[in-house]
Amino acid sequence: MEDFEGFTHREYSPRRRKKIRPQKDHGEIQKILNTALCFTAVLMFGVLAWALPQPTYSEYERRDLARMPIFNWQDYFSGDYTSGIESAYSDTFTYRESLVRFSALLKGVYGVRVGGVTIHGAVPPVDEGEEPESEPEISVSPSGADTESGASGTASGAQSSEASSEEEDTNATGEQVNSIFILDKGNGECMGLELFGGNRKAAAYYAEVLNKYRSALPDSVNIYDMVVPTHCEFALPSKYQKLAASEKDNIDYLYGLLDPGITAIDAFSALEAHKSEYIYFNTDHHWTGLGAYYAYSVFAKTAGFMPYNYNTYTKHVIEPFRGTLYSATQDNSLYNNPDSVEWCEIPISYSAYYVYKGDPGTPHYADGVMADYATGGNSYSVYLGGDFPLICTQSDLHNGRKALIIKESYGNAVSTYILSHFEETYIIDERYYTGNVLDLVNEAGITDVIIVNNVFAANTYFHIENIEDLLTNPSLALPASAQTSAPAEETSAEQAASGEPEEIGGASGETSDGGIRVTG
Amino acid sequence: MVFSSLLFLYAFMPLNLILYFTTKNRNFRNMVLILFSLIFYSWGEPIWVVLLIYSAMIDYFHGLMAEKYRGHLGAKLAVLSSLVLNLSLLAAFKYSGFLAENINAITGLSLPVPSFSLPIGISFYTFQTISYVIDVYRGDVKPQREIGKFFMYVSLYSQLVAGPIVRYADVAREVDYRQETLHDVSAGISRFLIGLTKKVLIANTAGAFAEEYLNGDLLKSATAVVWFGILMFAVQIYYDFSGYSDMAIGLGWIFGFHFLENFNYPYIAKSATDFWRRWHMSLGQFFRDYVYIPMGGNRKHQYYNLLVVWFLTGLWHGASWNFILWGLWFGFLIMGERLFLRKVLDKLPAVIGHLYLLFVVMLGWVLFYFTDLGKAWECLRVMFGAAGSGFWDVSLEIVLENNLFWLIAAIAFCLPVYPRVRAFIESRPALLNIAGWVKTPANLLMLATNTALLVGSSYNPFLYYRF
Repeated sequence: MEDFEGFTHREYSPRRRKKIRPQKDHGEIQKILNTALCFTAVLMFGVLAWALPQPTYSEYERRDLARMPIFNWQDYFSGDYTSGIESAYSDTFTYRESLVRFSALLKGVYGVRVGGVTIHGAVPPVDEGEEPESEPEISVSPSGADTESGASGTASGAQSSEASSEEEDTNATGEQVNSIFILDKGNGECMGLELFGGNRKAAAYYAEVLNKYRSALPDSVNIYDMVVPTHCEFALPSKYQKLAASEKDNIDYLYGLLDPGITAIDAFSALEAHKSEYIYFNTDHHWTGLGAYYAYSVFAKTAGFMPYNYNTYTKHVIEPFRGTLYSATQDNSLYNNPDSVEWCEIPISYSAYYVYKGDPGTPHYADGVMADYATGGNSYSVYLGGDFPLICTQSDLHNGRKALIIKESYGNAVSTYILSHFEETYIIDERYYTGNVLDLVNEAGITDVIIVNNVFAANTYFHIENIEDLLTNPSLALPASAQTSAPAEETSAEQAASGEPEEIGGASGETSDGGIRVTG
Repeated sequence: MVFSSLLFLYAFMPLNLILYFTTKNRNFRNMVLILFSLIFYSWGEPIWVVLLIYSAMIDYFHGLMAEKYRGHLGAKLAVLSSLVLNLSLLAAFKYSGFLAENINAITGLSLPVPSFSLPIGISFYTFQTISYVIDVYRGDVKPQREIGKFFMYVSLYSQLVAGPIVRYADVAREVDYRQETLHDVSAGISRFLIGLTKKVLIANTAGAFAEEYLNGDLLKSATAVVWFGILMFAVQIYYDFSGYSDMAIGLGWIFGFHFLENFNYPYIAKSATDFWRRWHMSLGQFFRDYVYIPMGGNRKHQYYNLLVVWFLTGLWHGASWNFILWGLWFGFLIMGERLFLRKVLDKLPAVIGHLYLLFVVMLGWVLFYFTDLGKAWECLRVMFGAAGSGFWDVSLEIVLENNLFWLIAAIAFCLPVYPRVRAFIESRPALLNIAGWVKTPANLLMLATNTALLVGSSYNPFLYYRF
């Protein structure tokens, strides 16, 4: 090539331009073999991808795979139609699950795991609350013009943005998976830990919302708040402490802002005292039934009940369980160290009904709230069968106490212990219940309101806003027949048999809520 | 559509190859190429495919005019008209929004800001057709009289969307009389798979790291983390772009075309001047042959010429000030090298030159990455320890360990490992024979790996619980 700036005036001549040609090297047979085998491999997979039945649902991903779009001109001209074909094609590619697993194994050998440690996802900034709210940086832009919008178009510039528009669907759902720290000690002890960054502003807002509950509810109603620490707090090796904020500090800070009329439940100390026991799952972000039990004991004592002794429960085990942290990372260490779910039968006799999403008026009677048919990646759904807008249990106790539990999925496990102490227990999921809690408290004669969230949820605006909205939502009467009629035996049996398939199996029906499928 | 997609690999390409090679009829083969190129392009640009056709058609006629009126005013007018029409396409679709924003900012007017989505590949194919008309005008090449063949050249999907910028003169003979050979097809397959691996195995992973480390709150990041982010962007952009060029060149061989190389291990350069002789060579040559030299080259107002060329080079990369600054950054470096820096560097050990080049290129990538100049400034401050959260971050340590082999490979293959190994093998016939046998399994392995990674990247777990 000519020297660019040292170029002297010579006329351009195509003949002087050296074109590259493939080197002459291999033998004829080798070339035939290379051409034939590579082409056959492509063709064979191409035909298989076309001919074999395509998967429509992915169990590990817990989602429906993309479907071929239906043609219309508008979508065609906007480019949605062709990009829809492209994503459906790769989403339902033949042997998908095996290829996904193969690619996960491949990424596992990109390097070494010193001390069995690996990280998936960007580590969140740690908010320990020490530094003041960071000032917005004075942005010096020499040109005086901040031209294009955000810098999200990574490899921008003509060649890349024109060339690699394939990046577009990688994060189609926009769900933010937190950073997951995996520690494989090699002796069968292996765990995934979600790194807690914390957000004190959000935590303060959470406390503020709960204080609104205190002012809105009559003084006669007890309010309890239980913020549950997660596995990361107890299991992160000290060498890596800096990767996460202290959940204890965050919870203490939050509790410190609560109205004195709210009783804070110190789940932290109870869990800390038993941190060497199996209180958190390793492949899933939830606590185990045992962990929930310890938190329940504290609650029971605080609320004036005698907690059951763990040894007196009738217990069952579901295994193997590979939960959300495995799903998110596909990590081979987690795959090889599945969890087991030990769950306890509820020791009293009670009846229950469920309210499903999108159908607030109909009670669905159930045999119980333990979904013993939960298996595989959904095993945590044994507790309450998953997340429902409202679950109501009625026991034959007569102590004048009626509970309302407002929770996200961490509350599922602990609710199954708590409900044994109340005449009636209303369990609502803060994300899905569409009614007004003040009216619910009135209508049902609630004496105790228990708000249960894990510390991530208590630091997340989405959850907090949902809890706040429960105060101002329009009134929603309890299901019509619920309060008067006793649960009918035959329907509950039927319910147990049919087993809430849309929640547990995750595969069917339920699309009314905009596609949010909840699994424990 | 892009090469690194399952649909392209397992549906588009096999169908294209089967149809192409069913007959030996040249016209049929050319028509297959045109048809598939149109499908390929309209897949991503169902509307703006008309621009491609328009640009090709006008320059087909401009080429004929330039030939017919050779030596007369008509030829000059043909070139002028080609320049005006093509550059106004670019101006309208690529730069109008940028221009309106800046006029508004300067004058305080509020002109409506047009926001076209940039038609794919417009920067490449307009430059190809401009070069065609100028080459015909200069008498470097005969115009193509068959409109179908000319359109095949312009629309050829292998280099349409991401280069290299193929000059008509370089493929003129092959447009008319090319010959597909088993040797070229076999080598083309291998070259394509190497490019695909560069893109899927290296560039995509590096890109994910760059995004992870550069798109967050930089002021809360550690210095080493931001350097790593920029390093990953440097790796991504090289492998992405050169991988695309490899795939284009490989596909070209399969269909009997031979393009020029577009990259020559740019990161081993010893100066910015050297870097641009190795990076996106077809673009550098375009600006050299059609802007720099016509303006007077080294003979008159050289530094002004350099300034214009590098301003344009920056602007070509995107309608945003950061790209212009990026171009000018290299312009000033090259001027500085011309004035004194090269003399200094020549006296020092070569390693200093390499380090200097890598340093200035990395700083350049900061400008290139952040369209928001405020962000770029933030990034630079953290890189030099004037902001951010300290120097080191334990999570970076884990990431470096977890990807150690991948990192070593990604950096090693920026060096000319492959040609060296190749030269060694070629000097020993026995090894050459073994290499011939190993090539096929290696290709199949690359295909399988890339397929798994592409399927794996569609893995998108629905994690309800994340807030």
